[in-house]
Amino acid sequence: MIFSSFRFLVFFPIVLLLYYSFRRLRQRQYILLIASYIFYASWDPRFLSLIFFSTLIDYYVGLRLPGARTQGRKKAWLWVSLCANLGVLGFFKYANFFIRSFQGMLMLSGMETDPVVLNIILPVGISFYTFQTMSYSLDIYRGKIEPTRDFVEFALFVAFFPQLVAGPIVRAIELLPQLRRTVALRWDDVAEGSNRFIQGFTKKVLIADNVAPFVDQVFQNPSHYDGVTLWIGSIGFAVQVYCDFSGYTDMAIGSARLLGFRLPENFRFPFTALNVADFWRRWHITLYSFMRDYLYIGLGGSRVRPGRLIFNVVFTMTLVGFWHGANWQFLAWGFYNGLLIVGYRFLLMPIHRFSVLRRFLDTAVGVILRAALSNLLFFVGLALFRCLNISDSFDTVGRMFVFDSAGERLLGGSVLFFYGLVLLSNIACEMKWPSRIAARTPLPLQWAGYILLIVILVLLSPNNTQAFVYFQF
Amino acid sequence: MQPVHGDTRPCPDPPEPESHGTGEDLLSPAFFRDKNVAERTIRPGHTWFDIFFRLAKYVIPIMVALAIIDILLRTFLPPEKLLPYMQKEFAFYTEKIKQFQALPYPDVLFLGSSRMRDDLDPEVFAMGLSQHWRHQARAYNLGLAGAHMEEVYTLAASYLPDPPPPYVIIGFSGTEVAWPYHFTYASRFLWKFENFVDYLRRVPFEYFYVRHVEYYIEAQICRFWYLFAQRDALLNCITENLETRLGLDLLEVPEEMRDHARVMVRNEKQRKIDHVHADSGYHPVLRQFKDLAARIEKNPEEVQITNRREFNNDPDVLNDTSADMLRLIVPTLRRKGCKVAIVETPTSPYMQEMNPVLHGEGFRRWMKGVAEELDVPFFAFPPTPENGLDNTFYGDASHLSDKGAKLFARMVLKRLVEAGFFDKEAAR
Repeated sequence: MIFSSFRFLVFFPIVLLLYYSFRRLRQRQYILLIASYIFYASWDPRFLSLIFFSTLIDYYVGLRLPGARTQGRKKAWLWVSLCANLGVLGFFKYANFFIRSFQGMLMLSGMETDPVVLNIILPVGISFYTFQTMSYSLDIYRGKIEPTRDFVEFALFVAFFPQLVAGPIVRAIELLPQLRRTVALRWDDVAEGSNRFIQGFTKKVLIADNVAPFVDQVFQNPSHYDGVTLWIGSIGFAVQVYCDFSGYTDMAIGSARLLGFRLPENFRFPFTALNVADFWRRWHITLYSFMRDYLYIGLGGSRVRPGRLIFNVVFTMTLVGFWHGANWQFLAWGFYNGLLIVGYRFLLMPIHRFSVLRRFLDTAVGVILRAALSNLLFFVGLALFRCLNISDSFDTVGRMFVFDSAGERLLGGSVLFFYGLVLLSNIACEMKWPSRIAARTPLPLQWAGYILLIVILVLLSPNNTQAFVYFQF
Repeated sequence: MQPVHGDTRPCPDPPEPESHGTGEDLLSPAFFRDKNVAERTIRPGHTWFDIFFRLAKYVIPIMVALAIIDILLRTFLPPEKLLPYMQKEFAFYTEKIKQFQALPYPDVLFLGSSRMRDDLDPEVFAMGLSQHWRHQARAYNLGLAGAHMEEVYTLAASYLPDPPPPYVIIGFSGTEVAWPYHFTYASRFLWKFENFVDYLRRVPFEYFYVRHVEYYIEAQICRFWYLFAQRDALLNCITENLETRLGLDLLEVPEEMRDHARVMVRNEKQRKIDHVHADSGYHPVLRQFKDLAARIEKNPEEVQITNRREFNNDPDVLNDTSADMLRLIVPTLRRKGCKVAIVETPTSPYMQEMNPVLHGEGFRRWMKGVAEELDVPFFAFPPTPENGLDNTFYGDASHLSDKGAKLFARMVLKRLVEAGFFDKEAAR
């Protein structure tokens, strides 16, 4: 049941109606918990047991952690949580990758092995909810939060359906307090929640799903196309993955808001980023901040020697890449981003010390150049990310820089149009234009806008809604 | 302190999000979080009435405007004008059925899938029966692409004219009778409320698919929202007009494919118009190749069978669940006063060799058994040297060519007449 499906558009109003029909907190918690389990079971009911396992482990660990008498015991309980969560994640997501890689190594050393591939289905959303439950145990271990003794409340924190399968990754500190209060039905929640949901729906069905066929065509066989087409394909994938994932986030935030909950933002107009470090503060913010707080800071953060700092950054970003899935392309993409951040820190940041250059970089031309460079580096990274195997990834990136490379050329006019649209909307949102415009727009013009949007959505939505890209991670 | 359940007292303030370092930090936090996650006070709410009243300010004018757009579209772009731009299944299942219901009722009606649609030329029947009965006879081919038993049953139950055609010939091969609840189009285009309720009543739990409920609801929305119903046709119409009038290349067809694509689009359009407007429901299909034999000779790899189910040769695919559907279809037609016969719509020898369970003897044996139980005549047409239905009479692996449709219609007519099926003259 994906947010942009007909099924969800029936399911959600029923949940909403039931939720607000009951006034007691406990009743509402049960309604949301049952709805969340139904939502998840609509993919594959077997995997409910995994969520339940993760919930039980971290609930129990959470209860035992504060009472542990020694630091050693505390650590042991934390390891129980980490091993259980990372074990589940490792088995379902990474087992085949490690088996294949191990076999590859054996073959390289001249040993013959029978190919073994486990028949494992990746449970949808597993990377999101395991991180969420781990963050709970880690925060208790660090003394940042008190554990909850209410199992229903904790189960709902893990399975809360708006953000269950593709984030944002919400921490206990953000969601648990909200689960402990009853909210009244309010117009601003309805208005803002619906608006946000419509925004996400539009991004997904109007842009992401319409760009997807071009991107699939190009990356199915990238060697067939020339460099220009590969650039356009990569731009198309940037637009697709942004509209798909941020569209999902908008729908998640919107539907949570309709239920009276606030979820953290996951994107902040990434196409307006002025450098690679800035980009990562705008793209998949909850994953990035999770990795920063629980891994990078744990490794020593930036208050270390330069060599160690480079390792910390590259290692953290490589794991960000690996989080997306078990293949070498994602690892390479993470490593590439780590190198970019290090490069920015050690090569480009020193330039800012020269006042003439700094002044130039702050001019309109300088800002445009910085944003363009940030975008281009992002597109190159996505070409690594999107290819179907690592050799294709390197070959594709290489061919992107050979403009007269042989191959068919597709101009992808619609892709460039949608990129322009997304870029413009990112700039407008960064400058806070939409809220200013909306405040001054007379009601009839707002009606006309909605009517136009409905007509465009009806005409341009592909008949088969595609699954969200981030479900596979 | 743990709040008591149902407690409406304020929540404790959440701790500030952790912050590490400043902007100089390489992975410095720019956490874009709403700090009001746990609000200090429980704000007063609104009633449902307040919410609906405020929503109405947006919803009502938008609904009115959409209704006006719909009326304009229905007036200036009715389905007849949009026919060339419709998807073929949409055109056949909506417009062809509408056309069929508007025509004078036929003496003989053919029901089945695209195999029936392409395999039997009704004109051959009309001429033969006119001679047999010594007055003008009319036959109509209501074979529809992708129709399975569910579609045939729905047509039989709810779409026959009044009075119904006295003779109904159902054409099946194994594909249409196996997996009776894996149908595609009945819920999208054909079901009326009573068909939907009937489906819910009879479908075995293990074969119930929620998507059919969704399709049915979507179809009901389509009934009153024209823009939504005709979205594909309208988009095709707009795109094509922009391409032809402004010279835009919106579909981005590669240069070398452009002429081929134009021919394909033109043929497809013509096919829809011809089939829907044909008085007999039949029109020869414009084909790229002369026949299947020529195609196999040129390149056997090109003969693709896209439906993976056609390869399933498990003997259990034809079972009692399928027979149950036939036990519904035949009595339904009989109750309406129709005389029923079932004929095999034979797939090509190429396909029969590939899967004899679904297309060869396996299907014939099974269908013969069920037909005997229902006391309905079944006519099989295995490819023998005598009947001459070899690959040269097929347009592709599944469908007869125009030449084949004429030959096959003569064969079926002969067998039915010899069996005395048409002995009682059609009541007119």
